[in-house]
Amino acid sequence: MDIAEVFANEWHKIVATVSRDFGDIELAEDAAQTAFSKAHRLWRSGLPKNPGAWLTTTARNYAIDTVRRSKNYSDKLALMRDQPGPDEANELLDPQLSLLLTCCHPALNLESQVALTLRLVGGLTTDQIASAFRVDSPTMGKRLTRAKNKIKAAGISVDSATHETLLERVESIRNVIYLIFNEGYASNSTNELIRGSLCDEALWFAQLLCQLDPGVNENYGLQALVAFNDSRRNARTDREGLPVLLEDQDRTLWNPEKIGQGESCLRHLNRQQPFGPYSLQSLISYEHVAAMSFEDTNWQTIYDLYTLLLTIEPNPIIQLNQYVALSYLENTLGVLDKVELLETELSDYLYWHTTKAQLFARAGQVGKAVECYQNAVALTSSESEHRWIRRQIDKMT
Amino acid sequence: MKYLLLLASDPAVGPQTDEELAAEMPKWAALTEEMAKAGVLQGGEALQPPATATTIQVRNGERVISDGPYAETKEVLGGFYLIETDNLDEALEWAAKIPSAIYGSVEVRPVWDIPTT
Repeated sequence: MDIAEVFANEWHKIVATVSRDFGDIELAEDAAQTAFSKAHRLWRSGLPKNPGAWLTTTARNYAIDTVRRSKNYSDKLALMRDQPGPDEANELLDPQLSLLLTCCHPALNLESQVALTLRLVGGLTTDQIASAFRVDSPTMGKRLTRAKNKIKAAGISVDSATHETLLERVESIRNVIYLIFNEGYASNSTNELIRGSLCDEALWFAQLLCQLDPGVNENYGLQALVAFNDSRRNARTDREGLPVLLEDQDRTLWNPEKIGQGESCLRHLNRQQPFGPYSLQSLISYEHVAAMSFEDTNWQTIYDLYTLLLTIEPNPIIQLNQYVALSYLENTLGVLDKVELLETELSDYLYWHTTKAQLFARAGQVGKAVECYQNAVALTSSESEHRWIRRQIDKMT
Repeated sequence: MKYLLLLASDPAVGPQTDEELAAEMPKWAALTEEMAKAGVLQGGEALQPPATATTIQVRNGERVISDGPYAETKEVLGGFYLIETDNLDEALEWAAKIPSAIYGSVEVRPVWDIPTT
């Protein structure tokens, strides 16, 4: 084990522990930062027997010293948590879970939740987060500072989360993890962060959540969804960086380990508990990774899963996805009629137009297909999306 | 920490007639009593309608006084509670119980903690 691995595993534990003990998230961040700086200097000749304990002690000592030197010493002393009594200890959550809940508090705007989670739990530097989200470092720095200030000023608790808090707000955590994954998936950049790319970070967060909050279907569903979708990373773009459709992907490039990880999550799903949106989406994703080829895809199962998903998340984009599944079970033109009905909601949605184009193409109506692709071009300013659309048109004509 | 719970709602929604307003009164009374019993209540009032409001701004040393409320939104300020709780989540718990939260909004704003020493 080297110090980079220790950092990847221990950072969030140190921040969480000090945060819990001192009730101050900024102090916890500084303390963890100081402890790891010290470790970099002092561990050159080798790692201590218990790196986690070494770091925790160093961080706490720094925090105690800082508190002593501060003007509000007696106030801070009051904030410092004594070891919890047996009742309290049962009530309170694991500090790591508490830290996740604080970073994902709905009183913070979504961008801030994402940035804070990556910084305080993920351990990414401000520069790394800035580059992953394609903003400049000072902007990201300000975002993080404002978020931490809001936590202090509005009195967002960092140390009193209970199981009830978790039940109410674990959805925010999943939401943030999914956003991180989405950003990584969309940007398709190969930033080397701490655990790899942004998608790798998202997968790590999803795993962490399953460990800290076990036995919850949606947590396993999210991890499986991220794992399955990310397993296709190497097949999703061609040499020019343009997207490759699922039907055209070289399945030998799909990552079997990630698929295995997803499958293992699915085995944890408890049929006695309800299946939420992430669980259902992961089962849909599974149907794709399980199929030997596009032609072998079990569209009926996918269609049925979408039916279930629509009962809990009735939105037109999910409806559109169900229609795509339907198009492999029924007459394409009939499905096109259904897709047309979504016009009011989806006329601004790029993929509504490209889906129609693909359906027309499959039905042999090239002229209509080209028309739809041309409408799609107008909806995006992305150079690569334009190129991809033009290529689809060229392929047909 | 002290929090101001600002109660805002669109005058076109929520209870309209005298009967409807009278029917709401017990809910408000019950909440006020619950807050007082819990020891969190520091104050609270219902406000007269926005037509009675006056807004003042000071610009370049001049007082600019205008008729009406400050915000150009459909929702108008109807009242407030001043409470003291340990953290934001507790304040939000109380805010969620406010009868107008169902048809309006409650802004939860921390009060500056100016030390008196």
